[in-house]
Amino acid sequence: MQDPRLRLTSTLLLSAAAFASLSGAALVFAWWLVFSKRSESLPGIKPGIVLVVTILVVGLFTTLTGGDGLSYILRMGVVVLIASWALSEYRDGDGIDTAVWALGTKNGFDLGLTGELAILSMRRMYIEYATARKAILMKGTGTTITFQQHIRILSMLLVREFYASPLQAAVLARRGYSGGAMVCPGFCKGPTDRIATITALFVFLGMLAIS
Amino acid sequence: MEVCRVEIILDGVTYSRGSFSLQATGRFTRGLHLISGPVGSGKSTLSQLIVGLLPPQQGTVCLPENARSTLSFQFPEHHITGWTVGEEIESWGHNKEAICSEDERIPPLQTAVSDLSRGEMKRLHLACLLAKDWDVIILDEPFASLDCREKTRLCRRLESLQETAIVLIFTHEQVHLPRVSYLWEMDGGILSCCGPVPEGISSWHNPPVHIREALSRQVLPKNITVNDTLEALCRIPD
Repeated sequence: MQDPRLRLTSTLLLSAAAFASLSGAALVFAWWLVFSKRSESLPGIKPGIVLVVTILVVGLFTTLTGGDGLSYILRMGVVVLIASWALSEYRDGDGIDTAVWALGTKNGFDLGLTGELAILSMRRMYIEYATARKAILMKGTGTTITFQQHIRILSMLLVREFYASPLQAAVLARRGYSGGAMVCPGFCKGPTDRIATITALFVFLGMLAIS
Repeated sequence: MEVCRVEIILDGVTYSRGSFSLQATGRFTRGLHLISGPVGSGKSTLSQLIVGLLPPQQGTVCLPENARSTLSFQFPEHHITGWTVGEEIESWGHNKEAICSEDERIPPLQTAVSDLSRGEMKRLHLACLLAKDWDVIILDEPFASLDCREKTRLCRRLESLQETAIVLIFTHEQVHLPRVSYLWEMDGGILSCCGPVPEGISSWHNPPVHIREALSRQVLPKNITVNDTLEALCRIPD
């Protein structure tokens, strides 16, 4: 889906429908089968395992405390599928374009810029984390990375981001940014964008009708 | 320190990523090997292929399993796991006092690593790395972020490893270079061997300015340092 406005709308509608009930989750899963690129929109193996394990643990805990753990696992599984699809379709500039379109060049620009910088920072941290894991093994103190070392790497990355953020802010200020800016957002639509969003709306309304 | 009896063999190694592709064949014996090449020529990728951090798509990298090998990444912060200088030294399995006594320019042990400049971090990283016994040392841009004095010190330290290890120096540094045994070039993702030094100097396609100047005057330095070049240029013909 190319239009980020329709993608955001679809994501919100589908996430709400999937989380609200099992039947809603089933409808959303069907939507995902039809409109997503399926395997291409799935998270990577390692992030996928982390997500699945997290959902399973919470589901198990829910069951043990008297709740419907299975339902939680199925509903959250579909929510994660939709989130992963939305992330895989994201393109640089989508956030700022959508925010400016929705909220204008003052608040919208500020919100969009914050979002874009956050996504950029997360991507950078992901790459740095992968490199640091390799570099640690080169110290010759072991062939695997301990849990403590993982925590250290992630902590170091966070600290470095905190150190970098005032510099980034100073560069923006130096360039004349003091809040809000002019952006002319441009959107293009894929052939199935409208039908996918309309279907997502019907899925949401269907979920409301069923429940 | 025991003498290394290993060699690295790259046999038809290929690796591609997007539009970039790398090809490498060669044999690296004990001594210092300088692999020069411009930014983006594939030096970092090849260094990771050799040490096994990236799998080749074709060909083989032969690095005997019992060899103690390491790779120094270009950016020292990737190696950091200690909050303080002392903790970082200990994370390499070193005695922090011993390392400090060997290098007086290492910052106080209680200093937070995040307060160090990248140059200070690089110096600390290289001091820790080179204080260990290795059979294979691969250095990706070891001179980056260092000042002239540190670059010179590093050159002397690397030269002292000539007889004990296979040292591969991947760099685009043009001035501060150690005396090396072999010259290699990376260009457009292709590794080529210029040959042993000094004979290989004349086959160096993109040498530093001082070497180019010497070659243009039909003078072949004994090695690739500025001093060697000056000595060769000032030599009175027999």
